[in-house]
Amino acid sequence: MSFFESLKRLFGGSGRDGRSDSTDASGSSAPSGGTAVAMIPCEEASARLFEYLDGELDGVSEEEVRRHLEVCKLCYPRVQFEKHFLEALRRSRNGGRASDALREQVLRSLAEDDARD
Amino acid sequence: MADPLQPSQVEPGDRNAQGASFSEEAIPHMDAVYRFALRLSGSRDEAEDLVQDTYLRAFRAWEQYAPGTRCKSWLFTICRNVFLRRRERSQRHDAILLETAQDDPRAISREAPVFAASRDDDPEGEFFRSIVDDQVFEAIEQLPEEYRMAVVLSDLEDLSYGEIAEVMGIPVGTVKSRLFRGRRQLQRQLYEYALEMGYISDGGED
Repeated sequence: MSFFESLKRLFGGSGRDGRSDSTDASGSSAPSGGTAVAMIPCEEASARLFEYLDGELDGVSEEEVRRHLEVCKLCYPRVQFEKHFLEALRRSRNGGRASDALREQVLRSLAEDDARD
Repeated sequence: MADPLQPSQVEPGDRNAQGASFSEEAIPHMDAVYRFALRLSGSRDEAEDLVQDTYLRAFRAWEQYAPGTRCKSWLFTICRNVFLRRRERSQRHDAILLETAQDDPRAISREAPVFAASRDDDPEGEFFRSIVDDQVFEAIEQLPEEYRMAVVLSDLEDLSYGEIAEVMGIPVGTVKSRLFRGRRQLQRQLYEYALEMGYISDGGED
């Protein structure tokens, strides 16, 4: 990433007014065909990024982030970064199954408990 | 020696429909409960004990289980409680300081120090692809307990924020800050691994 890009990253998207600082900074323009959804700044998109990736945002909020990420070149690497990270976590999930012995033990103790009363 | 018992052969609580549904609804989650227990305790033996205890308690309390809620979350809740109670009993509550738990989750999501650090050499975090499962497992194990729980429930067991809040008995906002904090801490750990393993260079010079 060039020094200039880093600068843009530093100074871009600091506006909190929901207007178009970020799109200026990214060198992209808002999608044509004027929509009701305002363009949110980079800062706002990254504040909601985890929730977005987790599928936890509601309709409008999700739409705002989605639209931003579609056009913002600056945010792209960041999104890839978080996605690769979350994939690494998910990949590691096959860690362990209850053994047959444990399964048997549990079922037996339940049966005993059931017989008790 | 008896054959391994099949759920259908045992049918705990045969005498009523509720008992029968325990076999159908709760027993199939045993792998997930075991994995969760293993992540909590870090030891196979303890995890097996936890699973036993959890199922026994769940079975006895089955009448209190509200159908419609997710059975897996309910079992996780019990498992967590059993784990915490045991821990309290053994060591005198090692008071994990969660001074950051109330931090603004949005700020945690926004600030990504590892992303910033690796930006020059690996802006898209390709190094995460090279990291093997054992390293992830180990890194998760090193997280403070409450962060670990949130990460495991979300990223390994696919619970929603709302479900995690129920399991952990905390508000959704706190779930977010613990989960995001845990993730950031994991990223730091995995980044260190990646440097050690040479998956990425230190990027010291320019």
